[in-house]
Amino acid sequence: MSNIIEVKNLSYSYSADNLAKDTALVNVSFGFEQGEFIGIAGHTGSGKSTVAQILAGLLTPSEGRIFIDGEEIEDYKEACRALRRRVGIVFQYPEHQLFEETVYKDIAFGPKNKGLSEEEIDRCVRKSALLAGVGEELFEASPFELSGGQKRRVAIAGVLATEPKVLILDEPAAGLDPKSKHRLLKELHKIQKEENTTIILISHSMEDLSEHAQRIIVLNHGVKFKDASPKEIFSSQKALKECGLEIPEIAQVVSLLNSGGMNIGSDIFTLKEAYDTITQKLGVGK
Amino acid sequence: MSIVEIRDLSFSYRKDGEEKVVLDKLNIDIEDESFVAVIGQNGSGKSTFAKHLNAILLPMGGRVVVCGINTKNEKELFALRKNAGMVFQNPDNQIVATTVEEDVAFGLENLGIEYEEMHKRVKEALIAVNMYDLRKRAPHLLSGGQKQRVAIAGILAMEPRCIIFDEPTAMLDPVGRREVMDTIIRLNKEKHITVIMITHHMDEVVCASRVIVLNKGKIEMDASPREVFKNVEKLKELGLDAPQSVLLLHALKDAGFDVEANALTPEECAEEILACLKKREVQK
Ligand SMILES: Nc1ncnc2c1ncn2[C@@H]1O[C@H](COP(=O)(O)OP(=O)(O)OP(=O)(O)O)[C@@H](O)[C@H]1O
Ligand SMILES: Nc1ncnc2c1ncn2[C@@H]1O[C@H](COP(=O)(O)OP(=O)(O)OP(=O)(O)O)[C@@H](O)[C@H]1O
Ligand SMILES: [Mg+2]
Ligand SMILES: [Mg+2]
Repeated sequence: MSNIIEVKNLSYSYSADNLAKDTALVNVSFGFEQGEFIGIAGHTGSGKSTVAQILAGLLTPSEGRIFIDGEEIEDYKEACRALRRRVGIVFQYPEHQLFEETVYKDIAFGPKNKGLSEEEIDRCVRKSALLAGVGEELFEASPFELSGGQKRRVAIAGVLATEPKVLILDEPAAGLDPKSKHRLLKELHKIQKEENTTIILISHSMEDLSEHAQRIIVLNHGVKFKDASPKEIFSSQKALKECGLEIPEIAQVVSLLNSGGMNIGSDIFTLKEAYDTITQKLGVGK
Repeated sequence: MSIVEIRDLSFSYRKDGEEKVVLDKLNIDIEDESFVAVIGQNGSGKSTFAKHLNAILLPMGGRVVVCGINTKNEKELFALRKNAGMVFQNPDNQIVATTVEEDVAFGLENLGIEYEEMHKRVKEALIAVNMYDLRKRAPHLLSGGQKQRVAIAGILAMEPRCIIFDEPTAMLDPVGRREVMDTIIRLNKEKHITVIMITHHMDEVVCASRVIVLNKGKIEMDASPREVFKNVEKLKELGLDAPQSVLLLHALKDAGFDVEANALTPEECAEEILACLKKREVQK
């Protein structure tokens, strides 16, 4: 299957005239298939938000090739336009994308721009608000008079409302309470399954990534360190640590159990896997 | 001794004549030099509560006394803010200067700290959050997590008696999170700074000596982490959770295994499971 988006030898520097200065990405290549759920991880400053903004067509690469639906688009301007049409992005700080005077108008902004009818817009707003956990009682509130987590949900709803083919979420769970976080991740899976949307989740939570991503791209100082399954990524605790990352908490428990002589294998990263394996080892509960 | 004394604190945001009660007659005493975590679902009133501690917001009912200063006493505002520093939920709200270094120094200049001392404190604070190398950088050109570290350094440098952290690690990578948590613990243990920390990360709550759970502007639970995490069911009802180690032990206990669901950390959790395994082997 061909990739909906692919980048080859992508580099980016925040200094327009000097690639060696303020370099955020160096020679990175990867692609995404339609309907995939991909995680991006990396230490603070590793280049995740930069990649996200390039994929969303908001930053122009300094170097590198961009392919959309298998075809290279050589003109960067054109490539950015094409990306913007396909990709929706939830920014790391929701404040950066809230601007309307009411929550409703904020969520309606995207669909309105697409020229949908009032009715369709309303349907779209209510659907995305529900998905993102924005209660209708907040519709008339100003987005600036909300709690941190509520702002986050409105920003997410606003992007969902544009129904993008590729959805990039930059730390969407930061600031969400545990229940809303679980809900959001579940909804993302639903969107992935039902609409075949490609989901790109940037996260510092190894727990969330191990549980949800089919594949994780790890960035380290602007360089692609790894692009592999969660199992493979989390198999090397030491290498991860060097990239500013850690294995999920459950994997830490498992590693302690193994060194304590329990021998349950080391490729266990989620609560459920751990529970299943440990109960088996202990024998039936009494 | 209490460093924070809150009596019948009520607060509501007024909108279109309607009142939205956000804090509902809270009574809280926080002991000097303690480490208190505040958790609760989105919109439960945590940030509103925090903003009352250094007079960004003033009570509509009741009173808030911090370091012996009533927050309504305008004349003491300067002394209050010097003693009670706040790291905001969004670091953008906090960044003011054109370089990282100046940004951290900004608060100190306001306090009238002399140059030598200022220089020393800025350096220490930046080293503590691992941002010394980027000290000449413009703050708005930093990544999300880097900004958060600068915001934390700004408060550290002021050496207040009490620091209120509103989700300080929300944008940090795991190693950075651990570093910031270690820094916070160190401030509390070694510099005897009182720490009040709002967080959605249940594994960070474990570091505190006391947890206050807010729900709809009221205190729902107030106990040690060990006590609070015993009640996983209730936490889940409140939109919260427990660390994965705690959840694993609870699940094993519920399935009938002979474990105490008392652990908080991965180490304690593993120990308990290994003990259970041993007991089973002896039985056989
Ligand atoms: N506007 C800018 N000008 C110059 N340098 C920048 C700018 N924005 C980011 N950088 C730098 O580029 C690098 C990558 O930043 P980026 O925001 O992509 O990191 P990130 O992986 O998203 O980090 P975080 O996890 O902290 O959000 C960092 O070193 C950062 O300081
Ligand atoms: N400036 C404001 N004007 C009106 N209402 C507000 C304002 N700020 C917050 N609120 C409302 O007050 C309630 C409490 O908000 P607060 O920010 O204290 O919550 P929080 O517990 O910090 O939530 P979060 O976990 O999302 O940060 C929310 O319902 C919010 O919508
Ligand atoms: Mg970022
Ligand atoms: Mg808040």
